[in-house]
Amino acid sequence: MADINTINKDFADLFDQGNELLLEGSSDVMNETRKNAFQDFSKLGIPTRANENYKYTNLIPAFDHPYNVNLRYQNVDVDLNEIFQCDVPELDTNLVLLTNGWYYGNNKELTELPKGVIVCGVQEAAEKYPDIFNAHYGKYAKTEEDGVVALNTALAKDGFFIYVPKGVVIEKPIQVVNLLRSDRDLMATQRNLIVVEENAQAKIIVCDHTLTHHKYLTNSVTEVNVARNAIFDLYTLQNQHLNSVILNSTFIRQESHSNVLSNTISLYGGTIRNNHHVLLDEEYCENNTFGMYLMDRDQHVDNFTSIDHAKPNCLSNEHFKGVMDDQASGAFAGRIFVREMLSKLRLTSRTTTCCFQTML
Amino acid sequence: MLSIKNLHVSIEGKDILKGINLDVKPGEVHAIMGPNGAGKSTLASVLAGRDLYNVTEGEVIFQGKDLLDMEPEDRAKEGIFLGFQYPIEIPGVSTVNFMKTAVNEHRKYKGLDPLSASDFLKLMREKKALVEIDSKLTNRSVNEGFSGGEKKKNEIFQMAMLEPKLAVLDETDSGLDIDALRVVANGVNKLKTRDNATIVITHYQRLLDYIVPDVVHVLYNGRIVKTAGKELALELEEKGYDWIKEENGK
Repeated sequence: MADINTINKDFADLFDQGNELLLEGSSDVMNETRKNAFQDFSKLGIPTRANENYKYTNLIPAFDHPYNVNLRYQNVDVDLNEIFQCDVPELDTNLVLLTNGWYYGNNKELTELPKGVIVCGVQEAAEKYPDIFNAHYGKYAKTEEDGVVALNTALAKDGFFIYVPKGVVIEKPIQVVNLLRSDRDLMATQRNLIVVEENAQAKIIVCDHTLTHHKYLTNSVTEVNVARNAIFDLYTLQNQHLNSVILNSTFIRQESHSNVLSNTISLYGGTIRNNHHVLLDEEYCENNTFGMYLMDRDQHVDNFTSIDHAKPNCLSNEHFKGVMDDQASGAFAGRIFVREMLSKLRLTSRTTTCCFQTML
Repeated sequence: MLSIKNLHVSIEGKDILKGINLDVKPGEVHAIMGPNGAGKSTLASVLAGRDLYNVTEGEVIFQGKDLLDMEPEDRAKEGIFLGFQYPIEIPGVSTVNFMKTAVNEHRKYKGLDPLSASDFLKLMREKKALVEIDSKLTNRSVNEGFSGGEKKKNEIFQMAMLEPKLAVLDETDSGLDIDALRVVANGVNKLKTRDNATIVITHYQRLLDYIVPDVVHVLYNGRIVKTAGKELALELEEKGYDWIKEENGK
């Protein structure tokens, strides 16, 4: 088995040798952020179990593998709209597909979205909507604290971008389906950005699926800004295979009177690590962070949450539940920060309940 | 029903309301809109009798009586209801007991006998259906552990139980998703009669799609600077509040 230094050096080589491809098609802001993130990654590296935040998940076996990496969009030889069908009955959504971390080039047009709503790829957003994109991209994901996030930012080329303008309510949820389909083992880097403006409302469902049996590692980072009085629900449904690794980091910033619900449901995957960071950056925010996992065989799931009550009079709830069987393992670490000098606390955080049950 | 004349209010020496004039007649729905810090919540609190504020000038007459002379509980018994922007939690007091006490105090004030337990539960069932509130919530302590949306629904449930003559709803839409907003608005609309009135305070127009106002007032810098029909709310949504600020010299 390779040691962590070799793995980190491999990524440094990838960054150097693939630099031209990394810069290609990305905006100046993305590339500037990329440069700084790589410096952070050089200092941090892939976190090992010596890192307090990763002590329950050993990432070395996940990274110690000769994955292919696509630094350019690969055309898909089939129509993914035809071969992918969502199995959830009566789920009525605005559906878009991503392939190996890239916004699928042949997505059907979303005709039912309210005026002003934007759903597209990150590269396209950086080019067509620079004012919105530049105001938020790289602002919430902390590359200086987590090597996985730094690596994502250093290698980020595409992902999905969703913008909900001021006052707009999207009643029919947007469903983003991340499809992994390759004829070789693959590491996918996906970078997403969601911007929900003042008094807007949106529900987004993100589903992770694999279409071939190859070994996959997905390193995904999603940044979300929820403006004043906006309401945002994020459902994440992880359903891959035993030979897959999901590293899923979400950074949510909330403004005053905003309300965010996130539900992370881990159904199937080899190793799943969810990092969920919430910054309650103004007063009177409400945040509900929920999760559920169903694990068997030797699957491993690790949910790490951090709720930062930066301003007073905010409310946060967390609740995670799991059912485990066989040799499966699960971990949860929840951190709640209450900044000093908060005189008006309205903190109601429920402790996490984990239910472990062995099914005979 | 309600007549506010030249109302001036200050807090800690700072003038918040600087001459409010407002007439509300039975059967009417008034919307008060305005940018943050305009004084909207202050007006609601003064009507409900919060003692934090100092009324320096003006009068408020409610059904022929001087409202400002009354204690908050007497204002409530006279038929004023305030739906809070930030409903408080009351640990250890179940919603059932809280409502039973409130309803019977109102009845006592009107010279009526208290409701029997069975009549009270019947009334509660009927009103719970109005706001689609779950029995699990009414059996718990008042607002304790409720989400923001549940607290707002609970406010409208309390309003339904007390059947006020004048309901003042202070940013009831804040924190409500579109489905909950429809339920709350539907509850308010069903409670509307020819004899009662509602003042809806809101920053945004969306709630007014569902609770349609007869009159819209814009409060800015402690004064009502514009009064018009429901179309004013749409104009504010579209153009924001900057034009109001410009027209009024800022």
